[in-house]
Amino acid sequence: MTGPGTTGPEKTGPVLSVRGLVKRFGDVTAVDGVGFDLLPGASLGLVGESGSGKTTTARIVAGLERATAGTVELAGAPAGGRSRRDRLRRARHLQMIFQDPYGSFDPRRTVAQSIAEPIALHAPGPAAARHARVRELLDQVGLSARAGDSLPRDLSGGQRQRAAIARALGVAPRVLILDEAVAALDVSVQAQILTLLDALRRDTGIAYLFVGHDLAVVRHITDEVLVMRRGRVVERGGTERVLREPRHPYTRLLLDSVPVPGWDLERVARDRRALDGLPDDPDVPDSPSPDGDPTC
Amino acid sequence: MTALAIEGLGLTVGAGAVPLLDGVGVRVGAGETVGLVGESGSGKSLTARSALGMLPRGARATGRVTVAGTDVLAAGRRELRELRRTRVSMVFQDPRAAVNPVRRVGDYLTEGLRARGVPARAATERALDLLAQVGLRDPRGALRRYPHEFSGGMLQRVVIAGALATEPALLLADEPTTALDVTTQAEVVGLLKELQKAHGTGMLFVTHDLDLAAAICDRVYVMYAGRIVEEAPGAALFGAPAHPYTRALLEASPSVRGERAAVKAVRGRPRSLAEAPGGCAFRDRCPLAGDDCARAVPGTRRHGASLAACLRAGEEPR
Ligand SMILES: Nc1ncnc2c1ncn2[C@@H]1O[C@H](COP(=O)(O)OP(=O)(O)O)[C@@H](O)[C@H]1O
Ligand SMILES: Nc1ncnc2c1ncn2[C@@H]1O[C@H](COP(=O)(O)OP(=O)(O)O)[C@@H](O)[C@H]1O
Ligand SMILES: [Mg+2]
Ligand SMILES: [Mg+2]
Repeated sequence: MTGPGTTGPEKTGPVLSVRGLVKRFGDVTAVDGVGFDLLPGASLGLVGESGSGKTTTARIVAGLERATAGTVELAGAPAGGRSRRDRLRRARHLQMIFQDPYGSFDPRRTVAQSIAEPIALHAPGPAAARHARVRELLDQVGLSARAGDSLPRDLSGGQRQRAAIARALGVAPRVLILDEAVAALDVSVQAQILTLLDALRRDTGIAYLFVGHDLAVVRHITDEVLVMRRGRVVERGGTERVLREPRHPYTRLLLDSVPVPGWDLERVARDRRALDGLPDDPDVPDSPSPDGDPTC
Repeated sequence: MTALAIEGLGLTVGAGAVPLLDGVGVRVGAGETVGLVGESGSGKSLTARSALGMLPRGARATGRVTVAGTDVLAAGRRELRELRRTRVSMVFQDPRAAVNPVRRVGDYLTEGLRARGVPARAATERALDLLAQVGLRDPRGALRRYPHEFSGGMLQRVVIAGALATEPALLLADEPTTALDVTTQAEVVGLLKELQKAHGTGMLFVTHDLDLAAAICDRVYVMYAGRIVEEAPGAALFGAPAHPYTRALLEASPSVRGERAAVKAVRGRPRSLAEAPGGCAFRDRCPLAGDDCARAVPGTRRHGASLAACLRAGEEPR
């Protein structure tokens, strides 16, 4: 899938390329050899239970954390740099949204002011043009001008998440990392944000790295998925394939743990025993094989 | 015997009588699992806590709450304490909030039994037995450990062991698995169901997760803005929702199985009773709403296997 923001020499290759990522905190290995490619306009899911290393992976990719080993390439150039120039370049191409967007807003400034800030930084220009752009962004995410003039604390959770998306979109990034970005929302509001994310990807060709523990949500929003366990990728492939015919026992356990009418809890227990009997987690190659669907 | 009967429960707070609950009716039979579902602020926790006589400060209650024969709203302090100690237990979302962090798990589990006059030795034996029942591998070691030495899922098992120590008639489980990973949720739910069956305990299972409620509950109540809007058997709720709100919730939820269907967003956001419009509280978000929905709070009517408080229950959106 390509879109308006995806022309230029390097645009046919992956917009994001991650290889051999390792992260240690003391003697905890949080991420242990994770690699993947994200194509322009694609949506890749990162699933697994808490502590499996999803957030650490996302934070390294976003430049918020330093890797112990491994490389990240963004729009064709290495993205690990620490200089101001490196950080600006990274922010122009890639933005990240968290479960609770509260922390990314200055509580004393209006939402519109916060949305304007990255635009002023990356595309300085007349204030009038910037205001117009902010109005456009608010509109794009379904927020009223009045909501824009509010302080973050006066918005509902869903409105705040819309504002965070508007702020991230201001610099027209090519990659959006969403870390449990809809997990705290009520289901009726979550559906609004999912619908918004669908439309944005369709209209702008932005790519998503979607971190989440809810398999149903991940199924809705991604085309491919990596299943992580204890810092490693244990299965990867097209999201539909992985959910319909999981190959790794851990993926099977995750799936069978999702409640459905006639839920078979015995089966969950069996899955767990099968997993406990496994010698070690098999490694999965870094990049997808040509059919995009390697076995593990 | 009925474990819990809430009839026409209304709650208001403050001098302005801000309404929180209106006409809530919930019944849990002995050994039955009953779900209470709805989005945040719909009044699930207020309803569940009313069964323990725990009302917000300055709240006025109308209606009737009966637990295992005790009239809770009329009960005095001592009677309530006795009720909480012997007849009703509660498990919350966050097990760390339920246990004292500086006391050993053994003390946590035996204090309720000791208070009921069980000798120390027998209480310890009982605690060991309970820890084994909830699947802890080393019950004796666990007795000496502190809460921070357990993972969230393991500590929730300890709390469940404590909740069942007194063989209560009623277990109130308020989002007991919401903070847990899915695989741990499955284990904890399996455990709750198993223990409940073994002891004939009635369980009110409060959750925002409709799929979870439908999967494990005999009957489910759906709440919106401080009122019950639908009551149905778990399976029926999923297959043939009668109230437009229930249907909207189902259509808004993506699913892992079956055909990949579009999620349907619901306009607006969930409301509390105080914020909701008059008449049917859902009417400003409802695709079926008409002028008549503003006139009065719709009464309950039967539709299929459901009881739904809607003038257009079961109708298709135009
Ligand atoms: N700043 C940190 N210091 C020490 N350990 C950390 C830090 N961040 C994460 N970890 C550890 O790394 C592992 C992976 O964590 P995380 O990436 O947050 O997982 P997930 O997002 O999948 O829940 C966990 O064991 C966690 O405790
Ligand atoms: N102690 C209280 N005083 C005033 N309002 C309260 C109090 N407790 C809860 N509420 C309000 O009552 C409504 C229902 O709350 P609650 O039962 O906790 O909802 P739920 O558990 O369904 O998310 C909410 O709007 C909440 O703000
Ligand atoms: Mg995380
Ligand atoms: Mg609650």
